Amino acid sequence: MKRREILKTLTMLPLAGAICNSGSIVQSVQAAPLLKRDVFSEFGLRTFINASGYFTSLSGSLMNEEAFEAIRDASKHFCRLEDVQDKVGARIASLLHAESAMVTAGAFSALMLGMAGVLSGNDAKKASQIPFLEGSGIKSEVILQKAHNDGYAHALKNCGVKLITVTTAKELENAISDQTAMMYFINYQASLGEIQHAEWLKIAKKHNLPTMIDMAADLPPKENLWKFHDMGFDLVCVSGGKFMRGPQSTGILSGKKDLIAAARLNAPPRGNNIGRGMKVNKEEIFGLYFALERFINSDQDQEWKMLEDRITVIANAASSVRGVKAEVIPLLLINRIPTLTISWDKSLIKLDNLATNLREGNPSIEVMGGPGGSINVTTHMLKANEVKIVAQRIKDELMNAMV
Amino acid sequence: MKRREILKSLTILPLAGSMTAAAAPLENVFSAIAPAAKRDLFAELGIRTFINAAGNYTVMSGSLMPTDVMDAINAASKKYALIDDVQEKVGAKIAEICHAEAAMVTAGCWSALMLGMAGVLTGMDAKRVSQVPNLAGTGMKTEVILQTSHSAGYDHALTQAGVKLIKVETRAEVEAAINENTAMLWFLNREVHKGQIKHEEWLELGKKHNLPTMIDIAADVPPVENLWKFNDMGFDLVVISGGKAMRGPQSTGILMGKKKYVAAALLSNNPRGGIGRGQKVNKEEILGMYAALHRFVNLDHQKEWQLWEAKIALIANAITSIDGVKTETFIPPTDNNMPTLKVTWDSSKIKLTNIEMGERLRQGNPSVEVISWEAPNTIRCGMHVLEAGEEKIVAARLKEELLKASVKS
Repeated sequence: MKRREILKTLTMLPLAGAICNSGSIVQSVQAAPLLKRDVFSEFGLRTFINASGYFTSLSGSLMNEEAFEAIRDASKHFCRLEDVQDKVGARIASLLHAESAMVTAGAFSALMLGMAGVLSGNDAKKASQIPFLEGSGIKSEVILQKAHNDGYAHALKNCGVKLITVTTAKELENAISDQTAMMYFINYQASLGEIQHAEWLKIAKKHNLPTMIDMAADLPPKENLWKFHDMGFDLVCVSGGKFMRGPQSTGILSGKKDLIAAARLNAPPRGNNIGRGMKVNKEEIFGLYFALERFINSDQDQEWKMLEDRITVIANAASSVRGVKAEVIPLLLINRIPTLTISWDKSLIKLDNLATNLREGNPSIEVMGGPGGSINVTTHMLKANEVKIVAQRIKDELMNAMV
Repeated sequence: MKRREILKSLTILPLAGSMTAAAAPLENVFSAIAPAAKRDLFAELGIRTFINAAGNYTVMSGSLMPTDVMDAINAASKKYALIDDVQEKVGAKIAEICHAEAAMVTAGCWSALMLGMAGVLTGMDAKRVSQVPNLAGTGMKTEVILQTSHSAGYDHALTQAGVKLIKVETRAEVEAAINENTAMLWFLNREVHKGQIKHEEWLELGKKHNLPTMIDIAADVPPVENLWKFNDMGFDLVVISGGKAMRGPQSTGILMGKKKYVAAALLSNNPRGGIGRGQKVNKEEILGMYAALHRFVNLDHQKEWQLWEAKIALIANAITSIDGVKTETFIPPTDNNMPTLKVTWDSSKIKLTNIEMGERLRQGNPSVEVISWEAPNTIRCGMHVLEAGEEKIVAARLKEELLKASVKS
């Protein structure tokens, strides 16, 4: 077909389509399709290269291709949300060595729903009373270590419970009463508390109390996904929109079958409960499942090496400037991924606001600001072609500020 | 290129790809994994899909997102942006369309109710934000007044912010109930016909006592004008679902109204901590919601309505000749205000309960969901949730089941 003929056919196509339409009442009436839109520039939204991390305020992570494919496929058909949670939950549970699982609207939502499930059990009336526990016969206290009371425990308080903080095992034993509903553990603060996982579980078992662990951002390693189930925690909460790269507004609550069933009593599509405002749609549930599957099948050693290689590229570029120090810092408590810190000799380089300059540059780059104007850089949220851009921009800013 | 040559180059391609990957350490390792074969998620997981001839029910996954919405979601998924920026910019556009001062996208209408309530209670006080829903001793107000007939289950969302619901019936009761602990007057549009006090009087009472007002219009578009009508009337906050007739993401809603309340509601919402942190919406949902709103406002609603009527006629024509069957168009007056087909049958001529009918349609192939739980020997079919051409299938299946259950004379 010659070019001219192709053009002719193209011109004819819409017309043929229109004829079909007018002949059939079944066609859905659509407004003229919008032009292919660049949603970000349409709204004047600053987009950026993310060399900072999968922070909620930075919109988490970019979904991987599989997650988006799953979302697109899920959007094509109606089905029952309960069915989706049943079936996807069962798959997730088997991947995670858990009895049961459900997809939630983030890790915070998982904390709240898990807590609500513990409080309500299988009783819909109790579910409708949360968070007003007084006079309901529902237990009203959760015990955690002082070092684990970091702000996320607020999720539990949203269910109406009081947080009882303890430091030693002895205090823990003393704090347990007939009002104790659950013992809560936050994984990333483990090293700051006196009581470690195994002892926490042992004491809970002794007093026949359910345990929950929050490991929201504690991937990699992927083994953490099943480690805490294997250890014996009754409920495990993890975020879906961070290293797993599922939809940013998803998380997983996994654990004991009766507790997950109770948690679902507190969640949409059911109403009259504390979770109704925490909607996840079928697209998100499928999207998260595919992201999880892909994450588990990925070669994390190879990926780790890739992150380090990327760090090396950026470190080399920065430290090629005289007076600049670029080094990989020891793994942090949370977000345990290779992190590069870049600092400089202030007498050689006059630069106080590198993070701001990178943000305001073109393309905009987000990094974490550190002490004394230094910056921290991570590479797990970068696209392949962005590594060199980040390296170059940092180098340029440092060079430009040389005395 | 001949078939053989094509095959040859296909064999070569993956190899070339992996060579490139090996040469570039910066390449994401994920891209080296062979893409999975195209999967049918629903079949793979054994999840029943169905033709929805019922409506925008949350349990039935709401609505299907049109192409415009999916395109926006796809585009939104490609880049990072600050969630605060997205809420601010998209909120401003939504507000403009809906004649509100400000707006935000929430994780459904329930979430909008709760966050709006929280905003009214806390104002811009971060300490108060951290105290909700435990209001005792905080100095925050603790009561919301509504009409008894408006207490239909959704008011439960307000209590999650810590308030008590004070239910009244008459104007005198409202005035008597108002005290220094009154935080807000709440109105459920769907039940307007049942309550003694209508919109204007409710607003007048709010104004007289200097109390903010909120109206819930969750499923009350169309008519499209309802998107701005209640802002124009003077309600301080309006909440609506995004995943129903508007066909945005099922897990979205909109909170709109006075700037000071929306700004305060944002403080309780993600990406911050607080009572709304668990009600996450991502940038894809926010931009998808906007695309749905934009599409909905620009739709030819008259044409849509005609289309639904044509579908009703097609299905009705297929079954009215069956002995004992009656069909009529039923339009719910307030919520889900769109034409539906009501089918009623004489139980002496057709031996089938409404529940059995629902079950048979559900078990058929393809599976069809209708509203089968409302009245004896009656089902109702929503048209606005049907995809193109599905009305023919619904007509054929209804006819088949009605005939099968007909008593032979």
